[in-house]
Amino acid sequence: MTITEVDTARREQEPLAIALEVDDLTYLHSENRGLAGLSLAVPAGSVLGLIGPNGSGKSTFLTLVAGLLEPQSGSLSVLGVSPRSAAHRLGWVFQEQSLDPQLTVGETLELSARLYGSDSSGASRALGIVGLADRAADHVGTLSGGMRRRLELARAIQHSPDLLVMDEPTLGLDLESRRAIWAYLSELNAGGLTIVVATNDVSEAEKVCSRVVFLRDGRLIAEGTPATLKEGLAEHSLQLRWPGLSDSDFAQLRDLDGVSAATRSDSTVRLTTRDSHPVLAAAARLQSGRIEAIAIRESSLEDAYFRIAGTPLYHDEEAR
Amino acid sequence: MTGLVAVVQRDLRAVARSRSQLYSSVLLPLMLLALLGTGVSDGLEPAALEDGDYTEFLVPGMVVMTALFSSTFASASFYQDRANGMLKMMLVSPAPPAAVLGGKALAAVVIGTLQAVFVLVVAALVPSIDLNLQYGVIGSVVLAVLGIVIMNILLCGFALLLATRIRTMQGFHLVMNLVLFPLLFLSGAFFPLEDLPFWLRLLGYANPLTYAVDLLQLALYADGSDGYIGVVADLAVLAGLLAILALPAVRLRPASLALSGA
Repeated sequence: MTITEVDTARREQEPLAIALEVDDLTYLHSENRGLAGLSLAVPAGSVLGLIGPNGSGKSTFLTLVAGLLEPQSGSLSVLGVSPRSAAHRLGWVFQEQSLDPQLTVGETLELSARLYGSDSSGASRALGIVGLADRAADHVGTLSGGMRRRLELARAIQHSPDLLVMDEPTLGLDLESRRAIWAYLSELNAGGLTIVVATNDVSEAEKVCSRVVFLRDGRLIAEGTPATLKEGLAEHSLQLRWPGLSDSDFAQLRDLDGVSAATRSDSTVRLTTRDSHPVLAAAARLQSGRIEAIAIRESSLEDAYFRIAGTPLYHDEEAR
Repeated sequence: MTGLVAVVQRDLRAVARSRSQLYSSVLLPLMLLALLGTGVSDGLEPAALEDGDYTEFLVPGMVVMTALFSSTFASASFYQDRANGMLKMMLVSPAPPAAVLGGKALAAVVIGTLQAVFVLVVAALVPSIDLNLQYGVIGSVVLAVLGIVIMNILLCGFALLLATRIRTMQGFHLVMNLVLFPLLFLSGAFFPLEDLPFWLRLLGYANPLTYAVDLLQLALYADGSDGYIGVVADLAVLAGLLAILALPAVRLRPASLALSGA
């Protein structure tokens, strides 16, 4: 059975236009941390990407969707009901690993199936989907990081959820594992599954997400398709690793013709420009510091975030 | 109910695969029974003990001690589950939080009871230990097992409640050691309370463990009820404590379980 055939019939029997609806949702851990007045609607069958730097409210939002926190104000409807009432129709993959290394792969799925009140027939199907069918008897502790993530994905889909929620599912994984996870998500969505994924893996997210929400300081600052959000962006993003760059030289770069945006954090300078060549030539004439690395790439959701939020999505020390 | 059974089964499986946890809770009480029991019995020959020698007196206390260690290990699994995300995984499932926490507590009670009964059986099989069993074999054993089960429920419940309030496992063990060792020493497990100074006796009677030790001493060691609190009073106090413990347990919220240690 392919992923696209999985329980499509069930979803067709219970059509739901909006899978997740949030109105003025607020939960503040402290004055500057949490979620402040978030409103959005996630159409059934879509893939929504939540994008924002650490502390932007992504995890708080997902914790509210899980029903582990009660909103301080506003409303939250998951599959038309309250989060706890929808719990059996949700699948979860958390940012932190949530596996018991003492259990086997099969026992991990068995525990989840019993907690969700589903039969164990979904386990072998789910393991087959993520390529772990031959590892059912192995202990979780013997699996690689990528395999563990795939196991968590298998656990999340084995009871055929209507909404799959994932928090940074590719964080800490190598490129191959990241691409594999996104490929699974893409195929699951093709089968009709609604997916909400908080991620900073923007290069892959923009290929898979049908809609994207930008969050900053607990607030929604933009929402749309990846193409819409990138509309009007310059063609190139220029990234220079430049230790010792003086403030006055940075100001010169920022003020160059054709540079629509410039930011620096620690020793990295990011410039958004339609034509990188004159900018690079001007940079070479500056005297302070030394350029150690140059990267030129097409504009991405990361650039869109920067343009809209006015701050970069990542800091230098953050892993991407 | 399925969720609760699933959590119990998973925790029992985890303990069965952790040999250090399986053996360490019973080895120390058995060693104390052999070394301290024999040493004091033969070396000091305590005259205040009327119903048997010191090794026999020590048996109920060591059974209680086994339950004490077991409950500490059980709550350590709570910290492990919180650290490795399993607790969060279980709490976002449709299983009610009470089933998740109840399942963990029930598994801990089963493990603690089996380990305490194991210590009791080993002690009973030692030829030099002659347990009195004053209510007959069946009556005494039933009473002893009842006492062990109630005490395990109390200890595991207390330990798990404590674990929901204390962020780190190190802090938890510190508090447990600070609280539980004095409780053990003041429970009558190592020496009778009746000949102690008044203030110390008073502390002893304010100690919940005293009633569990007394119950087990009546079932396994005593040759009458003089000098003991009594079966009915012991059971009444232990049942009362269970009711008191249940109040904060039902008020626990999912987030306080899953996130407080994060």
